Order: sequence, then C-alpha cells, then structure tokens
Amino acid sequence: MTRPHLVLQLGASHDSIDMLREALTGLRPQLRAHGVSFAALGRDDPAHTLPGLLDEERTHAHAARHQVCPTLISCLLSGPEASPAGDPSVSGPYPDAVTVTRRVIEATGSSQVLVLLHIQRQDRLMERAYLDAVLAGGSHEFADQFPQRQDTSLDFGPLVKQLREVPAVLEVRVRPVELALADPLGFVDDVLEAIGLSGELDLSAVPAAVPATRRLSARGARIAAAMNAHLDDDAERADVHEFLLEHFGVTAARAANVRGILSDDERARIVQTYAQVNHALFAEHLRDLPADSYGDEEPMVAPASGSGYATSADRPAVRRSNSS
Amino acid sequence: MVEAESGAPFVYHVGAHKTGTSLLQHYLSSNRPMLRERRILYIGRAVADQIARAREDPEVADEAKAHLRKFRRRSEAYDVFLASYENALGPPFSRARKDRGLYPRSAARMAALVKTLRMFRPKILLTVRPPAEFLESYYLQSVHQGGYLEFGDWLDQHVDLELLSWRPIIDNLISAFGADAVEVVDFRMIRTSGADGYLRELLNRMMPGTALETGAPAVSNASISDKGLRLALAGNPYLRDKDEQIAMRRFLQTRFSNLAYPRPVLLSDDQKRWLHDRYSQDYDDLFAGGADRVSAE
Repeated sequence: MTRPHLVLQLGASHDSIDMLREALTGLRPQLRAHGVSFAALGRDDPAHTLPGLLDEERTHAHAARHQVCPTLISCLLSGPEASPAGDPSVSGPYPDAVTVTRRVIEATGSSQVLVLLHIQRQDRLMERAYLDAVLAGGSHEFADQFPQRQDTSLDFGPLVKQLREVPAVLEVRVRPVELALADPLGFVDDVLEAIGLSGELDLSAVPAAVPATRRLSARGARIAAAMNAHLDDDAERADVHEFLLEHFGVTAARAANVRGILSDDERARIVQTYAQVNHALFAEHLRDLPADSYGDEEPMVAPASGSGYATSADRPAVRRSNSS
Repeated sequence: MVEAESGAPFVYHVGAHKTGTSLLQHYLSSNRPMLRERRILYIGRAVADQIARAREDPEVADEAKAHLRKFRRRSEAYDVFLASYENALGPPFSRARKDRGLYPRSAARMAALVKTLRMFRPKILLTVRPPAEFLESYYLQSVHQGGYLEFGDWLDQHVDLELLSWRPIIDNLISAFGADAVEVVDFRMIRTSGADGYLRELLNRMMPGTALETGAPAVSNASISDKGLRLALAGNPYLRDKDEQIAMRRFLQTRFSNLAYPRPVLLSDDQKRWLHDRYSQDYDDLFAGGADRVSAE
C-alpha cells in the first residue's frame, strides 16, 4: 500500500478508546519528534478546527526537521441511535463515521488515508450507547433505543464497505476494542504501527490495564432515565448524574457483582443474532483473530506473532521505558 | 386509667411526626453530660422505641423491662427520665386502618405504655400541628423514606379527611395517663418564638421550673422543592434499602431544596379551605384551657 499521509482512527465511547486517546495525547512529544502530527477530535468538535490544530503540530514536526509529516487523527464517534432520531441517512453501529471521515479528509486535504476502525461487540456497543444517552439526559428505556436489537442493523460489514468508498481512503483496517483489555500496550502499538512507528516509542506511560471509567449500574441507569425527565438544564443533569454515579455506579471492583443493562439471556440472544455477520467480518477483515471471537465471553487475545498483537510481556519490540 | 406507682418522673415525648421532634432529640442527645449534672437522664431513641413496643413485640419486651428496671435502680441518681420518640404512637395514616384517624394504633400503644411505665410517674408530651400542615408534611416525609405515591393517590389510599382531629388521640392519652400527666404543645409556636423558643417551651413543659440553656439549635430539616419531589417520586421506586433512601433524601434536600426552587403544591386551595373550615375550631380548642395547656376535660 502507498504510505498514507493520514491515519484516521475511528471509535465510539469505550474504556479502551479513552485509554488509547489519552495514551496518544501523552505520546504527542514523541510523535512530534518523529514528525507525526497528532490531533484528537471529540464527538462535538467540528472538523474545520483541524487545520489550525494541525498547523501547530506541523510547526513542531518541522522543527524536528522532518520533511514529510504524516498525520494521525483520532475521532470519537457517536454510538448507535445517538444521532438525531428518524434520520435515515444516519444508522448502523457508528452513524456518523462516514460523515466524519469525509469532513476530516476535506479539512486536511489528504489524498492517501488509512482508516483504523475500532469496533465493539454489538451487545456492549448498545449498552455503552444507552448509558451515554442516559447521561446526556435521555429518559427512555433501553428497548426504546434499540427496538431492532434482534436484527443485524449494527453489523460493521456495511460500514467498512462505505468507508472504503470514501474518496482518498486507501485502506480500512478493523480492530476490536476488546483486545485492549488483555494487552493495552499492544493495542496502542497497533495504532502506532499504522503510522510506521511500531516499537519506536517509549510506551512506559501506557497503563498495564485499561482504566475502568465510572459508569451507571443497570439500576442506576433506570433511576437516571426516570429522573432525567424532570431535569431542565445541564447543571441539574450534571449534579444528578454525579450523585447517581457515586451511589449507583459500577467500579471495576464491583463490576463482577453488578448486572449490566442486558440480562444474560438477552445478551446471549444478541450475540447469537450477530454471530453470522461477525463471523464474516472477522473472516474477511480480522484474519489474525479467530472468526468466532465475538461468540463468547472469553477475553480476546491476539496472536503473539504475525501481524497481530502480542501481550506486553511477549513484545520486546515495544519499548516500555527508555532503558529497554 | 391505670394508677402509676409513685416513682421517678418519666417524661415521654410521643410525637407527633413533623413537629420538631428532631430538634428536641438532637438537643437532648447533644447535651447528655449537662443533663446528667442536672440529674436528668435522656433515654435515646432505640431504648425509647423498645419501651413503646414492649407489650406488642416479645422480641424487645425483655430488653425494655431490663432497661426500665435499671432506670428505676438509678432513680436515686436522677430526678427525671426523659424519652422522645416520634413513632411511640405508631405510624400515622395506615392504609389498612384508614378509618381510625391520624394515628390508628395510638390507643393501643398508649394503653400499653401506661402499663409499661407503671413503676414510674409517667408524663406525656404531645406536639401537634394543624391537620392540613400535618398531612402535607408527613406525605413529604413518606417520600423521603422511599415512598413514591403521588400526593393525590397517597391521600386516597391512606387518609380519611373526616378523621383528622387530634382530639381522639388526646382523649386517649388523658384516659390512659390522667389529665395532669398530659401536655400538648402547638408546633405553630415555632413561627412566633423561633426554634430556640419552641425548644425551651418543650423543655419547660416536660420539666417545669428546670431552666436549661438551649442556645441556637443546629438542627433544621431542609425541605424539598416541587422539582425535588418530582425527582424523588421518579427515582424512589428503584431504591432498595434505607441507606439508598437516606442518600437520595440528602441529595435532593441539598440540591433541590425549597430554598432554590418553588415549594411543592400538594393540597389544593379548595382542600385547604375545607380542612380549615372543618378543623380550625377543633384545633384551637385543644389549647383553649389557657396558656396553651390542653383541656383536662
């Protein structure tokens, strides 16, 4: 493949994505030293701010005397159904993925783009999207947000195809966010590999485990949805949600004893519903992983050799500190 | 009426709810050393509860009796024993006993209490407020304790508006303890005399002539706003235990209090007018004996 001028990392809200974006931000000085401009866009950040951000980055990169300045941009996408309801042009697992991709490419003027698409298993994607919607003030039930949870409308396959058809996109790489849970270091390094820096940076600041952000328990989400209907502004919502996260939140320590939004049966049904399309997705786009990787609750681990991931311990090429 | 033995005075403040009970209890529990120096023993809520239920709950009967025997043994050291427990009359507004007025179990409770306290000289203090205020205030408390019925539904299910007079309760108290052993105080006094003045009045009624320093009371139960009430009614159905209820109550009282938002409107103007017409004379008559003292008739 022609060396990309722009690597566009796309992913929706997830602890692994939060960790990745934080790690990349922390790596910014090293990226600059290697001539790489890095920018991170939130869900509400307009793409037209990118040229300004990147100009500053390129100044630093040029200061490091690099002639070619590849660019890495991380974009946080909306989850399913979080977009304006009833708009048929936005659907699928990441409704704004194609639009965001087009806008970033337009804003940066890039002609050679590699898209790194981080996917999530559909049941987890739905849960996270529902929690995000509730924390944004939604007062609806989970079933109202996902009435179609027993069809395959959150299949990532069509999205990959759509992204490939965006002008200037040379390649779409698909990676599951779940890999970060077993190997955060490998997860970050995989992104660096896309810009040719695998094993080149000091990753000692990358956490050994993906930090779990506070989130609402299933009951906390129900309380939040019920209370949201009576809240009028962001300040009220922020205070109520802080209270609920404190008293009805899930921490990593409690997670094992607290039910998710979905019952075990419903989760199993969704996993089964998507089994075939996920199998096809993995078979086509994630050949280094078992095709049934999304078929059970086992932690997902990439193979230690080939083009896939390795555990931190098995990965001597990835530098965890200056001395290694 | 059961004749009490001659013994140390045992003054029991039996409520009602939402009439400054927290104010009194906080003062008494915070000033135990000072009270002891004055030969007054304040008995905490847990023991007061056991004493109130001693004759209906075998599980607490033995413990209550043991406490009372201990108090009696210590009557050389104390001139008066004090208790305050707002549930002593039982809970108000029972759904199952809607036809029995404000405190459906009060008659049985007081008949039992007079027997439980027979080794002392009991005296009862009852603090009251007008029925309309009591209704609204107690409803909000029920929401603070995890309830989630809309006011109208709660009213329909728990309250007979024809049976909101305090008179039957006071008559029962007088019947059980004797007119001289029953004091009734109007909670509305707190508006004219302030919390400190009201507290001093309660102490004086419990122990006439005992001039106790009160100071500025620190206890004030904040009340929730209309929005706070809406939020509580929405969230309460999902709460599982007392700790969660307390956390929710504290949050709403702090963040959505009626200092920052409009007060909840519970009774309609028509309902208030009707209750006023129905009960204002009856309520005022409770204190018609002069100097805020209950009629002994």
